Amino acid sequence: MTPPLGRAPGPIRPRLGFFVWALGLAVQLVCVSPAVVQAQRPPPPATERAEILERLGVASLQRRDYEQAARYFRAAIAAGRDHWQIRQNLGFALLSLDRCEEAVGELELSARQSPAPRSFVYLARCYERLKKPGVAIHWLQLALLRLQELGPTEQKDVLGSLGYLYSAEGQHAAAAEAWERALALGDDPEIALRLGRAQRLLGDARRARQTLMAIEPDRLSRASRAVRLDELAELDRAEGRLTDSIAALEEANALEPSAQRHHALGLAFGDLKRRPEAVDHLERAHALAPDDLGYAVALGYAYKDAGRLADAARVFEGVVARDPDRLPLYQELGYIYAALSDTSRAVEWFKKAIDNAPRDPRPESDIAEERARLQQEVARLAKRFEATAYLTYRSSQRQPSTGSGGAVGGTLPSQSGVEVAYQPPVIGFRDERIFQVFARLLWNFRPESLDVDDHSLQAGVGLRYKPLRTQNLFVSAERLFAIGRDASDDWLLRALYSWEHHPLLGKPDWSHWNYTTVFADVGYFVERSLWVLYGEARQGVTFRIANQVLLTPHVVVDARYQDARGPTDSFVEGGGGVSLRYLFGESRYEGYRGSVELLIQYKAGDFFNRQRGASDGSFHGLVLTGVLRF
Amino acid sequence: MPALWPWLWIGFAAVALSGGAASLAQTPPPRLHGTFIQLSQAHGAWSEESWRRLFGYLAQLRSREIVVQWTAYDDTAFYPSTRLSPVAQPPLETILTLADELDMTVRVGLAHDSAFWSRINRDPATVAVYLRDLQARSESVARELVPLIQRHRSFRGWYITEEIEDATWKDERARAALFDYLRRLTLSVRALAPGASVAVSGFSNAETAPATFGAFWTSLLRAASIDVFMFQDGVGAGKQRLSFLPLYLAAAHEAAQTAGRELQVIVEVFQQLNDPSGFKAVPAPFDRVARQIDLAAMYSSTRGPVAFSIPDYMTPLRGVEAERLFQAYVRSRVTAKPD
Repeated sequence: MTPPLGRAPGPIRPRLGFFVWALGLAVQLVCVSPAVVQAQRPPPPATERAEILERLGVASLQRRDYEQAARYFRAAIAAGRDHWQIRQNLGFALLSLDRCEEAVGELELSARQSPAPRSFVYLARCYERLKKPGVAIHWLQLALLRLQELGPTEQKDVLGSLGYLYSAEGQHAAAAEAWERALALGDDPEIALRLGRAQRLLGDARRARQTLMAIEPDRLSRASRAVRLDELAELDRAEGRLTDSIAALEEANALEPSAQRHHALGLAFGDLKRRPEAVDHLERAHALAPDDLGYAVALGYAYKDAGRLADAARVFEGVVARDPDRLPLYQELGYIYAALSDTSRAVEWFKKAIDNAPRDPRPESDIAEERARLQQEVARLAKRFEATAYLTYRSSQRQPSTGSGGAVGGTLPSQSGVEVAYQPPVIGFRDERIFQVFARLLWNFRPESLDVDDHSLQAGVGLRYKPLRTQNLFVSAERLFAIGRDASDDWLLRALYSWEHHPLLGKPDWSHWNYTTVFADVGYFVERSLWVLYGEARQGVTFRIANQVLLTPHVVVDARYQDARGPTDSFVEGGGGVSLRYLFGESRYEGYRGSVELLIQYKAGDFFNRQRGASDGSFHGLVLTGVLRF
Repeated sequence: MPALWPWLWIGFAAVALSGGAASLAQTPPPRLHGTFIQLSQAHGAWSEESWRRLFGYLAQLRSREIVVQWTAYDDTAFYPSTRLSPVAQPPLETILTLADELDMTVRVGLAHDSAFWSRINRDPATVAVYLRDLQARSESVARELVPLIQRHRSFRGWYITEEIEDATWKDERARAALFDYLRRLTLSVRALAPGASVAVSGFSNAETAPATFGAFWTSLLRAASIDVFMFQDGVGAGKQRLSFLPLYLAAAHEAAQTAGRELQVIVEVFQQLNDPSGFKAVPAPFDRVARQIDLAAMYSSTRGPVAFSIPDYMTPLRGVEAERLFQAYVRSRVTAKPD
């Protein structure tokens, strides 16, 4: 609310009588508003009774008996005494009685007869009370044009009110200008407080602090003292002085506790990573204003940051139930339930988040990127089976015993293979930890041919587990069954680690992107007490040559080391090539579920001879690998 | 400060005009160019004869333009829809056919959500999501309507049903969401019917100063491909008074002119009753309506103002008071001004 204008009603002074009043009127009309006087007709002849009624009205105004004043003024008008000033006084009396609907009629009539700035001010006050602040601004702007005709207190009130109304419109620069002019007319701590706020909102932190610090808090009301502290807290927070900000907010909250201040305190404690205090204040804010969903959302995030995931989920679900347009909370709930190992609910929320894509107002590229990420989450969480098959052909006569199947081969010497993995429900995926049962069949080809070397056939069944949330590290235990005579019956304990620069598909709007992968595999054959190490790194650039087709020219280096090795079991090799990958089996929630990859590489390398410490032969040639994943 | 002087003049003009339109007495009094039709469930039971009667009265009033406020209201469609639930006798085709016959034009409203006013008063991020929903709904309705409207020469363009006022969109983020919504929707409906013009309506609660209101609309009209800005005079709903309405009319006019768009003023021919249970209104007295029309005509583009709404408040079909308003208008604005 705008503070009341500090002026006496009407230009007529008490006890001076009608002649002085008439003289004052004449002076005002002739000296202050000559143009108006020229435009006006002389006041109509009035009866003596009408003059007396008007004087009684004026006297009533002086006594602040506005009801009586309005009656006298109306009676005077009815008796024929009608001029702009009596209308203005009647308007003021009605305004004072809070009968603004009637007052504006009188004041507009007065303003039409004589554009006196005081009528404009009264009209502004009326329209403000009638909840028409835009019209109030209009009249105050008109009053501003003839500000000098008003007394200093009235001038300050006009500027103060105008600043307030501009501020409510969001016109902070205009508000600040008006308030600065008001303060130039006289000190006023309440206006200074508003000016300080406007200066902060305009980004002038230095001046805002100066203005706020210059205010003596004792001259402010209790509520305004709290507001001043709020403002100082905002400035501190913006400048990174979080502890000072909290101190100011706590002082403000002690003066005038409010949900808004608890909320601000919660956020400030959150910034300082003081989770319990953040939760405490945000719980209070939420309790004081349960309908404010912004506070509820802040509380949910505070719970999440404090590790109280079930509470966070409860709060977020409550918010989404009340306002389904809070889109970020859908995926937030997905991640929370995933962290709570409630895979089915996590998938449900991720699917809802994917369904929200058409409602998302962000740029298409952002939406597509997020959708791809969510699809990957669903694919990981909802996955039950995955299968990989690979086939490697090497053109060299002497060739290493591994292909390019990555994790399927690795420590086990094999050029080709098939693996099926099963991820059981509930225990298969718990907070980024993955458990799988797998079975595989591996084999080699005869040199320079695609004839399966029957002696190399190797089968295995095992369990594997990803123990870390953020790192793609798997450990496994596998029973190997020899089918061919060169294969082995053994237990294989294994650790596999892989890292890639970014997800397979890059970002949806990218035409090309960097391609870096690292794969490391350590295996221990228990019965033979045999260690095997395998590592591979690729560096290239992936080009999206069609929506589902990716081409990746790259360089590659890989090495295998094996204790008690055969002639081709340990080697280091490197080369270059291209990967052509076709994605298929797209689903709404899981993206592309399968891919076929053709890897064409030319590699050269050396076999190791551990005993003699020297190479026992080099090799080079074309390596063709096909990989099917689904 | 000198920049304020035009507003001063407008202010005094407002006060002067609010007292009467005597100065306009020398020229033929302006007329309403057309009317809104606000479709409801009840219209789903109207026979063709009922529509013919209504259009007969519209013809008597010399209405040239019909604005169908919406063709879908929540899940109810006023045309044969496969996605929504059509009323028993969808009236849109009849309206277009009668307009064809009477050489009138029809602007067709898109989808309207009854929860609009409550759902825009939220956090701007969620309002943006809501507006995206509205966009999808209106686009879907427009796609369904295209085959129907293409058969009628009376079809003139689209009307976006969301009414834009000056209290809700002060926040920069909310404003950006609104502009984005209008930009996207106008682009897509233009693509569906390239020759059709697009209109949107707005009003002022006098929440912002006229200059601020005008600047807001200038930005909006520059941001979105809107041909016609339909300004609701707000007098019937008590949002505006005749005394200060010209301030906002002038601001709207300047905004449209600056952006190179057309301004069409909507004259509210009702008087809203003070009833907390919901919207209730009665036909307005003719002298007030006459002053509204005179003001609106000063600022409207060549086509002239349209009423909200003749079918509800200004035909003998809606009772004695509506008939009184109808007759007074005919006497004053039709008979007195030969075609």
